[in-house]
Amino acid sequence: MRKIFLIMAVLLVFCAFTGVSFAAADPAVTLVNPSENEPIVANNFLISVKATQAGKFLRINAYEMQQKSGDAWVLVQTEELEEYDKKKEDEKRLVSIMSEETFESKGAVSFFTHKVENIAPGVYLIRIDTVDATATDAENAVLYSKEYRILVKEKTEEESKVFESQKSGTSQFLQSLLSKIFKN
Amino acid sequence: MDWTKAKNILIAALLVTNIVLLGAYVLRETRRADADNDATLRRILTEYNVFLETEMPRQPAPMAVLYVQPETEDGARVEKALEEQKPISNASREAMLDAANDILESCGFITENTKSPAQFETDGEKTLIRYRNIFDDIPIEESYIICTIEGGRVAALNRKWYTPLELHDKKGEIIGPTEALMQLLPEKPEEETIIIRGMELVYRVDPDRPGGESPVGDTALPAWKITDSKGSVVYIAAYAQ
Amino acid sequence: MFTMNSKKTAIIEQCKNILLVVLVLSTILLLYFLWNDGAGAGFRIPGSGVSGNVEVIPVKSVLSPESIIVNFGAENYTSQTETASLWYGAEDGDAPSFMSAFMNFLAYDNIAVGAISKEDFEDVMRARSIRAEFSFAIPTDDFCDEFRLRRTAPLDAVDAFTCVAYSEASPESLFLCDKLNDSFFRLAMDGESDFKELIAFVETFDNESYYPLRTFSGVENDTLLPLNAPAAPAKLSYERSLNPYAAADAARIIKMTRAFFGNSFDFTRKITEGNGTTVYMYGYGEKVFVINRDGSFEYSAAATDSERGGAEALFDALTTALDFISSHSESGDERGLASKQIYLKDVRYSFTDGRRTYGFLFGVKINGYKVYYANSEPLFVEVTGSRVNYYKIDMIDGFLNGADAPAEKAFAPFDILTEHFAYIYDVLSAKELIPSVDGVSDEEAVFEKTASMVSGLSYGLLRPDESSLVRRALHDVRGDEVFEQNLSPVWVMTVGGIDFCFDIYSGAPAGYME
Repeated sequence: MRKIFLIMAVLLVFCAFTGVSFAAADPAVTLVNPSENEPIVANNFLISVKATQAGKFLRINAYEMQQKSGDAWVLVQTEELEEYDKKKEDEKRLVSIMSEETFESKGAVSFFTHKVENIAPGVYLIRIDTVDATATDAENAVLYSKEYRILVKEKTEEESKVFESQKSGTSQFLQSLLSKIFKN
Repeated sequence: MDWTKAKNILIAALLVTNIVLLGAYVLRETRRADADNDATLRRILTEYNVFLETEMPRQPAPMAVLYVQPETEDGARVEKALEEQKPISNASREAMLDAANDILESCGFITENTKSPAQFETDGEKTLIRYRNIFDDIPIEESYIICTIEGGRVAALNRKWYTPLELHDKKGEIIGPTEALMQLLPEKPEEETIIIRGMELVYRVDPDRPGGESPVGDTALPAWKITDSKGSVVYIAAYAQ
Repeated sequence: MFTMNSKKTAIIEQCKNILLVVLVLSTILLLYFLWNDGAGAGFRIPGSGVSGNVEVIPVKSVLSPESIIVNFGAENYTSQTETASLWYGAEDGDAPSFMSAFMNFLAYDNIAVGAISKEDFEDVMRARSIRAEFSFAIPTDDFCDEFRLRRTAPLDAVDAFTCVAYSEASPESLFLCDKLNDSFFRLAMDGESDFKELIAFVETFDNESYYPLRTFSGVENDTLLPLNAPAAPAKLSYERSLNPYAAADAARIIKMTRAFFGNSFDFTRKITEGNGTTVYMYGYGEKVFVINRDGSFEYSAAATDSERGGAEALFDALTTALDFISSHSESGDERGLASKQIYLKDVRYSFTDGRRTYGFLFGVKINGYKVYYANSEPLFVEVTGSRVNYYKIDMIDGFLNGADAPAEKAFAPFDILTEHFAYIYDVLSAKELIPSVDGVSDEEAVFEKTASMVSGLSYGLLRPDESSLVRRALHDVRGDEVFEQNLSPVWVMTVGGIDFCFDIYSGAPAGYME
């Protein structure tokens, strides 16, 4: 019995620490764009953050997710993510790709937008912190925090073609002409 | 250069020119004065059951449009004048005319355009004195003052008036009375007989106009007024087209 | 003997001299009587008379797409609103243009044409693409004839288009769409078009970034909004091009009126209404010209038998309209005036007596900015066959301000919606143009519903509602001064079919137009 209580206590503490290191997401703040579910195929993206409550003070940052490869630091690619998560802390780092932006929400619905340009294919992290503007201690100012992983891919020639048939105009025309003749 | 010869040639040329110009001028004036071969016209009209019982007017000179100001009825002033009138002393036309003129004078309706002789019409016990609106010897239609005399007094005053303001600075050719009469024919029912008792050139303000409000300015255009034996009146636009 | 003869000759010569003088004088006199009887040369029912300005307005100067939208891929857009040079090409050079790419595409043999769905069209346009959008439908055959594009039989399937589009996802294709009638066509040929090069060319410009509203807000709506606020236009003072209340304009107004009647102006009926309207009428309403109390001018004409013929193609009618506009406008001193240009905003198709009638609605740009009228339109011309049967003009001139005002930054475009969605919702709700939101206190739902109905955003200059000023003018001795007003720079956001105006600097609501 004592053992069970001990295990439960350890688990509880573990969860608590986890809760502190990854603060809960602010329910009134959402990253509208980009989406974690849709990889971006471009060298830029627009960050759009929605706040559905007035008086929210937000800090927005975007980073490259980098990992050590030999002596160099390289941008993590999409297919390397699983492995990346298993790496030790000293083998991975976040490098800012924009200066920290702050935003105060006004009204019942407001948006923050910022364009990030000149990015290479890889994995990026967007962090949105909701802070207590009155807090004197910078560390304890964070009320909520959420991170989003954004995948940026290389453009390939294999874009999905809407029109399956890539037959040329000539062959299509001839086909339709032939079918008209034989119908008659 | 033989100056004598040159002078002879010049004189000859100028003589010819003068003859031609004089001929053109006389021809035009003659056309105006005697544009209608009366007999031919009457014959053609007869074929359409139209009979002319009036003298044909002369071809008019070119005319300009006339700008006019429609007058609104000042009912209160007229009523006051009618109430304050003196009874008519006797039943003579002169007395009736004097009484009517007095009323018009007190209302300020006598102007240089309110022309006499006024026309007298009898309607049972009533006598109607009709004044016309005349500008430069041309009547303005349909503009009139009608005084109704009944029971030894002016019983009513009916006024529809356009005050002439000014003529436009350009004139236009007017069609002759023959051409005006010819324009009657296409619209006329075949069997109907028309006897024309009067024909004169007037300035006419068309009562049909766009917009609903009463205008403060309007324009009278030349028209031929043709009256038949039944008293019906037709206006034919007089500008040559 | 000799002396007697010479004396006689001298007398004869003297007489000839006198006769010469008399004949010259009589010639002059006769000429005077003949020609100066006041009738002049008489008159005939005219065609239109010609007023001062006869510089013909070319079709190209008024017709170009309302916008050319380029998708550089991955939802990166730009939108060009000054489209003439990209559409027709620069005058001096061989830079790529939309029309030359269009012309070269149609020059291919064996173009196949087939209808496609709206969804397929929207799908293919998500790739790197370019499209030119017109605000009205253009008949395909008239367009090809006017601009000498090759028209093959399969193209007959496309009656009219509002949009011409190309996508790199289907490089052998060109798309013609009539969005007003929801019809979409794909033209496919066997070759390479120039549109890819055109997109690359546009990419070299200093382009303003646009994103779909969906990207900003998460609401399902593909309407494009600019990311950044532009350098905004400054306020401009303006007045009517011709003011019927201003004595200084009286002579020009008479001159313009004459242009509508030609020689018959001297025989028209002039009616002055009590409310200040003046009507000129020829015949029994064959031609009517009205000077309205609000300072606009209207002309209408009934068809005569000789005018019942004439071409019925769109561009022939447009040329008729433009010729009529040039020969009936009356321009005054242009010093100190901002540049002004008319453009074709809409074409309305109808029938009169069984014959095709075109109603051309023109907008006006001053200093390069579109002018939005609060409660009228600058210019409308209706043409049937080769005859203009209706014309209405309400034109203004903008004044260049003394010193150039520094270009202030405009209010952020997307913030217009986030700050004023509740106001927009209230207006649309009162007009029953927006479905009510369950729980209207749920502002996020109200925002989403309103955002879903946004269909456009642009900016320009707003000419205010002057109706209160017109009432004052009738009682004001110096009537020509009360019309001096300002054109205010505004954002115009179209939501639910209504154009909402917002001050371009402060974002404050500035009325709306239906």
